[in-house]
Amino acid sequence: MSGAALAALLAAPVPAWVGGESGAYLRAPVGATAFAMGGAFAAAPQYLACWWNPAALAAYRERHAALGMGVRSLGRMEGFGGISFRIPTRFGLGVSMLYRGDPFLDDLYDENENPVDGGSYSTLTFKAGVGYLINRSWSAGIGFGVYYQSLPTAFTSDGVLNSTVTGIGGFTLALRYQALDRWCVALMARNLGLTMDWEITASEDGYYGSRSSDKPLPEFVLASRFEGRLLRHPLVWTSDLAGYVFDGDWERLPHAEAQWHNGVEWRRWESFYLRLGLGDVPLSGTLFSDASAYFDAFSLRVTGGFAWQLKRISDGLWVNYGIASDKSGMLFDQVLDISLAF
Amino acid sequence: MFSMNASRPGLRPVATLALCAAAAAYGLTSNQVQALAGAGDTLWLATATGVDFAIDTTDTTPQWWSQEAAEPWALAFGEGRALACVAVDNQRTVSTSTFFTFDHRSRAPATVTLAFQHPSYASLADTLIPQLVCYSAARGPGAWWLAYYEGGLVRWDSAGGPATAFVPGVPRAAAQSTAFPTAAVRDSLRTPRTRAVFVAADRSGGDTVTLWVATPARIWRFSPADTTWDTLANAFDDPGLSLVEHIAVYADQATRPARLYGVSAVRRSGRDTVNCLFKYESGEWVYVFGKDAGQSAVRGAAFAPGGYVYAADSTGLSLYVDTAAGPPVRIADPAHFRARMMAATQDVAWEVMRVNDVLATVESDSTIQLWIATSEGLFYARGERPGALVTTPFKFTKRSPPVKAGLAQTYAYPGILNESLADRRVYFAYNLSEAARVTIRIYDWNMDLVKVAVNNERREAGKNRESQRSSDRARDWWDGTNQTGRTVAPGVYYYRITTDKGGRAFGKIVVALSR
Repeated sequence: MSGAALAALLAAPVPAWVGGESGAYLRAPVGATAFAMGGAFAAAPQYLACWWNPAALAAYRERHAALGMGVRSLGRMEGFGGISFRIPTRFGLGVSMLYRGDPFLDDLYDENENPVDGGSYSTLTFKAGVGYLINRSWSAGIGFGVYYQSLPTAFTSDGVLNSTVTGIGGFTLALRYQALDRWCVALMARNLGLTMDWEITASEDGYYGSRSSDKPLPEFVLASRFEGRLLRHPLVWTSDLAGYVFDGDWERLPHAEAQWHNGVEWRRWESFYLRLGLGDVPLSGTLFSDASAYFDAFSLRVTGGFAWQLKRISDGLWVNYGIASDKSGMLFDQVLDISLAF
Repeated sequence: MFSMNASRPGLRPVATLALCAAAAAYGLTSNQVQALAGAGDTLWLATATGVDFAIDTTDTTPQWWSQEAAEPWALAFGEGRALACVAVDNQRTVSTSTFFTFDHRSRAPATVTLAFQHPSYASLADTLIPQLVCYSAARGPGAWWLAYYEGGLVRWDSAGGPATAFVPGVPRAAAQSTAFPTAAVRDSLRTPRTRAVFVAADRSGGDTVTLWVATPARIWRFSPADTTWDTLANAFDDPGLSLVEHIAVYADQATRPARLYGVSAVRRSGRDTVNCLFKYESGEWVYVFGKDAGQSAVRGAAFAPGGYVYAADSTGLSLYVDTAAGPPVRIADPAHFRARMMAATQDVAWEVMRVNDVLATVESDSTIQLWIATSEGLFYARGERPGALVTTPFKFTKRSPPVKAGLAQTYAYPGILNESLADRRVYFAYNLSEAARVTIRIYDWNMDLVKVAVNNERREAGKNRESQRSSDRARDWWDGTNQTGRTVAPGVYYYRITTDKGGRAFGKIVVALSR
């Protein structure tokens, strides 16, 4: 993040919400481990590395695969999977798939307050990435994606009519540095150059229509993973600072925002880890200029979860579970996955 | 050919629809009431999503029929019959217009489809066909007269005879003498001079009917008996005005002979274009209404015996009296009607309401029923005596299904926020068992806060409100923007309604706006 952008971030005069900007469904963490650790996972993702940090693809000797699903509040659903492997001696490759949506849009009413048969909102995202090991300490990576969305946009005599959009791009540039044996950091820029141009059908007869250029916010992430000890057992602390300064057209957002994600993993038992986190903690200059407005808009995710090793089947097989409050503060999201290192 | 379906001349009845009939209070198909027609104790109205027909409007329990339809266009009533154009389907070689009709006497509803075949158009640009839209209709003896934009004036014999097309300014004989459409006629229909945009019937001469047809560049007087067209001058009493285009024409049949009024877009020297109401007199258009400060585009006019003229723009209504030569004199200003209308409802804020049309019907005791179509519902008053400024309280009716108390049944409407909505807003409907302070927050898919649509505002218990719901349409809405005023990205959004008494409810809204 440039100095000017950081200054803009800290000088934001009102609560700095990115809510409603493009790519909301891409901002939520993917995978139960990341989810349980407050969304702080980018420095050293053990799996789904092509989603989180393609520079990490070259850092692991094992192949990794994962499959999981999430049930979120108010009917939001997700499913995901991915695989990554190393190409000796310096490359790593990975692909991942993510479904997110709301298949239960069953409480819509038309303009005359009549209930309408429900529709569904669906998104599919495919990402691929490649990592390159520069030396023992440094690695770099690049990733890109294919994006698809389907959304009900008009009422019809039978229900609703969907419009769809597809986009290719959304590049991720990543750099990872293994500073110490127990500490690594990463720097990333995500969602670069992605445009989804909607052709929205707004009436059954097609008379009304519109276009909408959907360009997810570029996301700049500074991530860290530190391995220490607590009560004589390993304790991993992860921290991601994500900044949103520009919109998809590289115009400065009216009010920039940063979100701070933190998580810990306590390896109290050899085959069972506990995870806790605080995610999406908003940071902006409003905290100093208008503290009451800042706290009025303040929300975060309180997360928790565990990892359980299925040692009887395979040493590399883990079940991961995460649960978190959603940001409305009243409901819960849950994510479960299975990861395999082989 | 530009004519009725060649193989089956005339109108083809395609279906008789089952209607929602009720002996109850007015049950609008939508609160967005766009156009009015009627006479005596009958009312015929077009809403954003249907057509409604009422008989016995003087009764407290009118007979009411409703038919949902995609955005009706033209609306006309006369001789106990009503007609609305409810669908237009323009294909490359065939254009169809579906009309919904209602016979007052037999109470028989039906739909008929008017088909225009254009075999010779197959090689023409597609841009020609989609302009065949019926914008206006009028009732003459035994026939409907339909104004088709780029289609001329069409006479449909309601007894089942053939339909006939006329081109403004072109004698019928000339039109008949050539295969329709010849290049000359087709080109003439595509010029502003001959596009028909509005038709009004004038039967003040007894059994003979005169039709007044507005085209963008002319107001025409058409005599069906001898198919002659005369044109009126475009001179204005104010030399600072110049014509941009004519929009509508009205014949006040309460006077003998009928007085003629027109709505035209005019440009004032060095200033913007405005839509104004004019009266035609002694070869020139005399300004009545529309260019004063605070007035907006004229939306409709209604006439009552004695030369009374109700003129409506989107911001309100004025009453004029036109008893002698010269411009009509205003006897009631918008503030008068605003006060009366607002006294009729607690649920609608004047700032969000737009007046769309006005209608005056004469009751048997010679008093006036005044109907005002607005974006929020229908206002009406009975027993009006405009000359004596004797007024009765307005009543207001709107479509508001009851909402259960206690936030048990809470919803947002319309659930899809898209560009087809006139006001680009989604409204919240909820009901509180007791008065409370309400907060409505909007979240995106990631549950990031998008906006606080309503922030800790007091709402009464629904049982204490006229609408039997606590939500306030004037204040409980979201326009699809975030806290910084930017239109949000297409997607699903979630709202949370909470009260300081502990109630809460959640729901979903789809946003598909351009950005």
